[in-house]
Amino acid sequence: MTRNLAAKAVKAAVITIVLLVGLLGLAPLYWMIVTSFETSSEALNSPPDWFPHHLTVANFRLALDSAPLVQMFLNSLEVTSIIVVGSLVIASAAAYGFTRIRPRGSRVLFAILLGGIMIPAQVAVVPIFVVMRDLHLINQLASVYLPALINVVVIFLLCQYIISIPRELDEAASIDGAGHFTIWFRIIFPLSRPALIAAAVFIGQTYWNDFFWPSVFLSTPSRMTLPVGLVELQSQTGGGESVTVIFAAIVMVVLPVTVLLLCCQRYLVRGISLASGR
Amino acid sequence: MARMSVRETRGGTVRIRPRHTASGPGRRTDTARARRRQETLAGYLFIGPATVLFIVFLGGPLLAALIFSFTDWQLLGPIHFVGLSNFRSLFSAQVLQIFGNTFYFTFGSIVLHIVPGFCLAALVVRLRSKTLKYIIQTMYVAPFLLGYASAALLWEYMLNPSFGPVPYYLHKIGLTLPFAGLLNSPAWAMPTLLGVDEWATFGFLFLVLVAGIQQIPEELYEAASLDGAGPLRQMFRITIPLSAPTIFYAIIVNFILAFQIFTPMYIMTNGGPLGRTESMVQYIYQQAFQSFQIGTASALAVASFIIIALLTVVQFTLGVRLVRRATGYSEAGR
Repeated sequence: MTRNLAAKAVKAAVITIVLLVGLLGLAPLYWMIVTSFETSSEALNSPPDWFPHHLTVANFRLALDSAPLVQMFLNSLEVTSIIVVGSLVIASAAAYGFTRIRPRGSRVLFAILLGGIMIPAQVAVVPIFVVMRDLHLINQLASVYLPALINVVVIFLLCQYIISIPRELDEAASIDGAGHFTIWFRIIFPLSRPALIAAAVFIGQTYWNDFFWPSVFLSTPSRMTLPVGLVELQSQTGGGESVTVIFAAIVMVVLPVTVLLLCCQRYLVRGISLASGR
Repeated sequence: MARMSVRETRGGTVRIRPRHTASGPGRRTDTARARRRQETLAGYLFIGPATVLFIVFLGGPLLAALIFSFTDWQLLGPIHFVGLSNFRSLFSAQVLQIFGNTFYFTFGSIVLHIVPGFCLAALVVRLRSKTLKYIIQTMYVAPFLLGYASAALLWEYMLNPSFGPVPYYLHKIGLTLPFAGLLNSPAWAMPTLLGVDEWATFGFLFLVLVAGIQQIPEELYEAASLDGAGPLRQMFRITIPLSAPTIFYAIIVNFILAFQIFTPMYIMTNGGPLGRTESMVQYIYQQAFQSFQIGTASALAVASFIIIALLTVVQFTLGVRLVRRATGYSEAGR
């Protein structure tokens, strides 16, 4: 009995510590939100303010004036949605081909494609830069989303998923005269929806926040996605005074999406467990 | 196969015959062959787009990078082959320091993510209260979902020596900090970036571990409780051995992410001070897109590919063996 009580007390203590550390981890976000509503002289105060004295929205206006934030947001949205939709359609079709049709030579091809998981971005980026330059796509959003349309991990996890869909469904449709396209589009694609949603949240999160590719290919502020655009905004405003403007920009255009993604964390976990092959 | 024979019967006969009787001699063999050709064609129509994109954006570039690494190309002008000289330059003091930095960061990142990440994930998965579980998970994942670029910007100000909260409170508790700020101190810059990395990506590795530990069947714990095993015993006898594959997967993911670290260095320190935080990918970026030394950049990129491929294979085979030993299951190494 006492042992049970002791165990419970330990558990409660551990959970309290976990919650406190978690709150400490959220403190920077809270400080950012408070600072984004402060005047720049208040923001430079030491000790730092944890409650704003006079609320001001001037920083938000200044941020909008200093950088095309709305355009950057739309650019991010465009890049992310093209990558999510495009890479999933391409991956789903490929996975159907690999698991259901299995044409001659497709096993070898699948093995080669899987090897692509090991090719890191920094290896592919220089030759792709040359290709994009020759196609006059540098500083265009296409240079960021085109290379991301091939996602080997997603092909792999969709293959795993499609294998679990009973073949009788295809066969029944086939008897009714459906061809491969109809079977894929009407049966396999809708039935793999759980995997597709999980993958979509995962890919969306990755490319919404991606910094490396856009920093290589995009150089004009109005063409930039948000992560590179915010760094650009910082280099334009400069100095300690920029803190309120940058924070206002992040609070305005980044934080809402962060909250949206937090609401989808269930799918994120599912996407990860699919990607790890279980 | 089965589908083919079904289709063939559609014309006249009602019976579904196995394929070998359906494809008899003569005309029928021709139609079977034509159909098979059609199937192959259809197959490649489905696989085609992915294959083309793979060749253009992964396989092709890998070969091109290999070729570039033997040249002195500067993005414009003629290409000369220079043999192994780009690879020899990888042994210069500067590049060796960059390798050192990258391995230091990678090792630190793995230790700092996997150990607390596993403990927290093991705790959260076994929590009975769904609400508490959700609250803790949300707290720890939020910084990751903010994105690394925003996190790096935020922490640049958090660490600012004149108004940042971190130096203020560290000073308050009696620590003497470098006057120019943590990020400008050769000794402190890299550990500080590791701290920022902990904040910015802990949530991801935590979710990877949660996703794996969740798969452990609840019945095992119930059976263990019935046998009188306490939480500690359950941890060492069930959770740790059965999540060995998950831990190995998380280590590989963490390794690949940390080894390619770019964002915090690029935004917060630009590789300084004294090159103490310069990372491999950052150096590749700088060589290729600021100095236009495509040859050197490609040589380092190829070297990094080889390191990643080798370590992934080693980690994987070693992982499978260790997991087998830890669990006694042969299929646990999936």
